[in-house]
Amino acid sequence: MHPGANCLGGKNQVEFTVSDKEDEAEVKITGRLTFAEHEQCRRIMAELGESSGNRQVVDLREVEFIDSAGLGLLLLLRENAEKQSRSVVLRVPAEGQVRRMLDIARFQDLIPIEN
Amino acid sequence: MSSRLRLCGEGVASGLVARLAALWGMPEDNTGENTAEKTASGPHILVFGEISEDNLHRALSPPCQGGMELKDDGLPPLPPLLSDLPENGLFLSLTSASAFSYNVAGRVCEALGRRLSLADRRRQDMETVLQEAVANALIHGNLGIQSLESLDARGFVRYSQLLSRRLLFDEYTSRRLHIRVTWDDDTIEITVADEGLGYDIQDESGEDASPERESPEDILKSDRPSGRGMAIIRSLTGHVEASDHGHRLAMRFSRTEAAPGSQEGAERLRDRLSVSPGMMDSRILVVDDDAVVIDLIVSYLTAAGFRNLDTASDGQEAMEKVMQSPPDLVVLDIVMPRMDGYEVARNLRRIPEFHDLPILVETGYDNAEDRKKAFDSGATDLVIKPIQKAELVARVMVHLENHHLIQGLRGYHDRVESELAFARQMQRDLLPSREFLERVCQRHDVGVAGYFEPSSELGGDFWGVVESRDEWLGVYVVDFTGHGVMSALNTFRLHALLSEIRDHAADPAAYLTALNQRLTPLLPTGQFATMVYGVVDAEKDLFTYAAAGAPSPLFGQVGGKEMEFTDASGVPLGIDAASQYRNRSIPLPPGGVVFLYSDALIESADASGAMMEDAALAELASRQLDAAEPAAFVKGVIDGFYGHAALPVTDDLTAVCLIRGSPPLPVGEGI
Repeated sequence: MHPGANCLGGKNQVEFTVSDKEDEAEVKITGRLTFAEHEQCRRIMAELGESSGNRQVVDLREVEFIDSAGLGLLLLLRENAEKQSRSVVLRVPAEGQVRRMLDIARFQDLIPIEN
Repeated sequence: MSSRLRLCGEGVASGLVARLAALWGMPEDNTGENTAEKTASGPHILVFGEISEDNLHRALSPPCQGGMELKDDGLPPLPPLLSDLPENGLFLSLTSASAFSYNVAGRVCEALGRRLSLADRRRQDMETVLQEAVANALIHGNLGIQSLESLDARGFVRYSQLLSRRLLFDEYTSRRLHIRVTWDDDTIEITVADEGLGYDIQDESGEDASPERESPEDILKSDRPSGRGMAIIRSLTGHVEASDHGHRLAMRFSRTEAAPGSQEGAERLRDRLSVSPGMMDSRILVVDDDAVVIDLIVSYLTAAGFRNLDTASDGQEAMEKVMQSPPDLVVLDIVMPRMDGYEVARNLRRIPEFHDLPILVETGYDNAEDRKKAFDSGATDLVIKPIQKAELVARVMVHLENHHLIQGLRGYHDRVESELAFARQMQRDLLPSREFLERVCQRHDVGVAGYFEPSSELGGDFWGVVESRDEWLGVYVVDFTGHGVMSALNTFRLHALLSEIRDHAADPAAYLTALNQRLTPLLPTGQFATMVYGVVDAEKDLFTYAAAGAPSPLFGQVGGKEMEFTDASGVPLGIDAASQYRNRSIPLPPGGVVFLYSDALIESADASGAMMEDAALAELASRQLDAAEPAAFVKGVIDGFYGHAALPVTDDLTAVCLIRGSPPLPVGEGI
């Protein structure tokens, strides 16, 4: 399978870029972060795991839609980071579906949210 | 099965639709020229062979009430969720493979939002819930994968690998996902069903019979991460119910309880534009730990005519009251026990619903530091203590007005947007479908291809094909004055008339004369249409056409050297009901080419401001005569045109090519 395609050969509905700086790695996610994108989620996990720095920033400001599987990915990222003694913060949009999901699931109690 | 719903096919052999119709006891629709015409005649279920965004949209847009993806794995039995679909209902049935690759929850909720003018927030919440239900049905139902016991990285990788593997097997991916939505004035019910193994909700031992799958009831109780999906469903719906051995999950929503949105917003806008009687009913929450101050503020506001006031004596109580019943405005003290005003403001701003809520902060100390802190926390404005009646009332009025106006405009804007998108789709639906063109062209041994590009969001052009089964085939191009909403409405009017007077269609002059008679009284003065309509007479090798002020058609011969213009003068349609049209004929032997187009092709300026002259168009078209099939011909002309025109083209652009005896490789639109 070539990168950029999901397991059914369709187009991925979520894209991401990881920028790795000295003390901080940032992953910027765009599109729909859902159960159908589990392969992309694995790639995000792997790339962030290999990054350097003590802090990981997950930028969700351009995510259009997130479901519980997407929330699951965020928890996994936190867990992985904790194992490596690194911290994770989320950047979230001020409003919209993503914000609402994080509020409903009380994510601010689980992962620090940076405004 | 009631005969209210009819089946029609898109990209499916019509024999197959007929067999399905017989199997399901549902009538098949044989009327109409194409899918758009059929579906316009009443409620349908669209059966499509291949999933696409277009087919999803068509199936979910009125008057269609749903769609079914048909795979070559035999005829599926009538899905239970479809069998008694009421008038206020939508149905969709897809294979798991398709449901995995398309944003099904989003499309269904979009369609529902358009039909019911739902507030954005409401639609979004329903999409969130439907997404969870779809994921549950696909992964745990159809693909038979258990929920994750615990969430760790290795577990997730294993789960993801298993998912990818199962998606390779037809046995799993051909299992269907069914979605049904029904509604009445108060509630919306969404049911999602799968075709997996299921589980026994309660077998004899009282335990889950199939360890393969976690029951929704279990998940509902679960606090584990895998249960979050269900927790989310539960937190956003009024009612959830699992049935049919876990194959079905039904969720109920209230239509009304929601943040102000499109419908309500538009009503508020109307209120605002009149004397706004709603203003004095605005709910105002006054928060202060000093009972004397509360009494004072309440008395000022009551005296000003406000009659929907509530009070809270500290921040905590304020948050509780806000959650119980959202206010339209809050007057907030700063220094209070339990939770101070800054924190209340900050908390409120974190909730999307209250982003625009006016918060007026009372402050006793009029210094810059406090003012800054209040605004940083999210205050909309300040009221300085000791409170002056006139100042308080004025500020409350101003912020309520702004708030209502913004909410109203936002709702209005959302609604207009979604209606325009719908109109755009309806207009595209007027064009002949690929399936229809293929069928018709084969029958008459001609090839037809067209290109349509509206200049603004909605256009005034369209084209189409009519036929009499064994005798003749006709093709037309229509161009209404202007573009935008008015012209688009006119295209719908004319399109409806075209089918109404089909009896005249064998004779182009009679057809145009009859059309003009009926169209003229419907059109406001100053609006008219040009049209050319011609019929292929295979016996006499002629193309007989009548024209109403259309650009001159070009004709020629495949492999020939030159295309020539032929006259298309005539009074445009809609000007004078008494206009008469006459037939003209040009030779059209096998291999003969006719090219029809709207005037954008010759009236669009290039970068230097020069129009493409008739001669240049004839030359451009002549160069395409090597193309023995119409799609390539049209593409050649359009490419050549865009090479010339300075973008963007300011009028709708339509081009249609007909070639006799060419292989039928039609293209519906937008080559």
